[in-house]
Amino acid sequence: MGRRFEFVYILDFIPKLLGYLQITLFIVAASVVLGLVVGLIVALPRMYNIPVLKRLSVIYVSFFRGTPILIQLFLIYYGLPELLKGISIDVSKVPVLAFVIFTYALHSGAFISEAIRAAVGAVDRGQVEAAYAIGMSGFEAFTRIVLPQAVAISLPVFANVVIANLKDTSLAFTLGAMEMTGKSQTLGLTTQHFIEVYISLSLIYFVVSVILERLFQLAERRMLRYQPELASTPSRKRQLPRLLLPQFKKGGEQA
Amino acid sequence: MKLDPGFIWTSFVALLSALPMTLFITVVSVGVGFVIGSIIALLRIYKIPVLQHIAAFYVTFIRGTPMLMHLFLIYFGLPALIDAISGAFGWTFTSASIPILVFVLISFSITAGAYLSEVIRSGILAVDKGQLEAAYAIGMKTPQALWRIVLPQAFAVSLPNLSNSLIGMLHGSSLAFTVTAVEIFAKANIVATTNWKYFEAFIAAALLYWGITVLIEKGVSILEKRINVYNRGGVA
Repeated sequence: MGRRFEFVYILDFIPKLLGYLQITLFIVAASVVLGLVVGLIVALPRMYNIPVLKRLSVIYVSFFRGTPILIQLFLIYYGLPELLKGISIDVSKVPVLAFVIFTYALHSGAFISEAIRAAVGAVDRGQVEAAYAIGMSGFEAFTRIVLPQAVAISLPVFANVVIANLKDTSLAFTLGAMEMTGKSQTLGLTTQHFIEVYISLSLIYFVVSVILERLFQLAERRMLRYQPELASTPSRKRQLPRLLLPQFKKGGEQA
Repeated sequence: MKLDPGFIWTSFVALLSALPMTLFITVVSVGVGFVIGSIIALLRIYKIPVLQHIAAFYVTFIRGTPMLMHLFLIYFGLPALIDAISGAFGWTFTSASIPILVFVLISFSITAGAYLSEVIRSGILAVDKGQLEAAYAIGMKTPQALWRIVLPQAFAVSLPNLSNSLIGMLHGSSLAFTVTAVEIFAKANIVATTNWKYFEAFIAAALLYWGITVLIEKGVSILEKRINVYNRGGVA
């Protein structure tokens, strides 16, 4: 299997793979932005307790969190064209990348909707009441009071979603999308130096996710800058379910 | 090509034959990962010199790279390493005699170990320090105090995270198809290509994964309620 291990190839492959980093990042960025829209739409019926729609959003989230992303990719790639053919829309000329982005948007939308719900739930009820008391409408209270606080609270979870999304893009090659992992396959096949390719690729993913993590940490610190009591921030986060990891990481940092 | 609902059922039945493989990969990797994770977590909590930094790097690296990379690195790298070693010592043993599944299990255990070590670490750190001090005060040794006082409470705290990791590894096991291990996803692919009915086969696979996931979630929430019945006077 493959040829002898040669270190030079690792250095040789890194710039070649970096040429495709932009496609990977494009998939991540596009799907996260779309996912935010999807997540907000999916979270709203559950936050405001709208009958029927609430049920649907529960099923949506359960499905996208309950099946592997690989299945979702294949399901949408093979299923969507057939469904659209039923209403006579031809998508056979749509590039694979569009299906990939669409799938990742739906996938991260499910996770983002949970993050939004948890974060909005973590904002003190008194904040909304205070907003109503000074005469704000429901929409104003949500966009001007609740949302900014919720965004700051949910940032660690959001960071996790983005980084998970980055790592999941490595699966897009199974549909033949030409991003970094797809390129690594062709590089591996043409040179027969598979180990070196995957070492270079892992290094790139690693560096990118570390950079993303740092950026989110900076953003979080900045967003919480105007909070009078920084000490109370972790305790508010503790109310969020399943957030032990980011919370714990922060604790370690401050010490 | 029209959707054939009957074939969803047909492929669902066909996929059931691959279910044991998926469950086997998941359970073994989470089991071994739990052992690795515990060791890593303890190394980092007790701040063992040098080893804690290696452990920290291991966790960061694994969490910062896709699971697919771990699988490929082990699948391509480990056999080469084994062959090099056995060649250097003049053994007749070659990596070709090792089944692919072993590499899958090794790589997924390494992945699970990193994620689980964070779960275990946060769980242990979430237990009040006073609990450990109280255990020492009544004369327990460190292993005793950890095993009998800290770990049961840490387990209760980290149960939701553990269930998330288990589900994550269940979903991750679908990656094994890339190295030709026949689990549910690979089977779905086979069913899809032989019958030329992709949509139906993947719907069946999705339903199967979804069902297992919901079962795990339900099971854990029952367990959680049970554990917290006896835990009421403790941390929470």
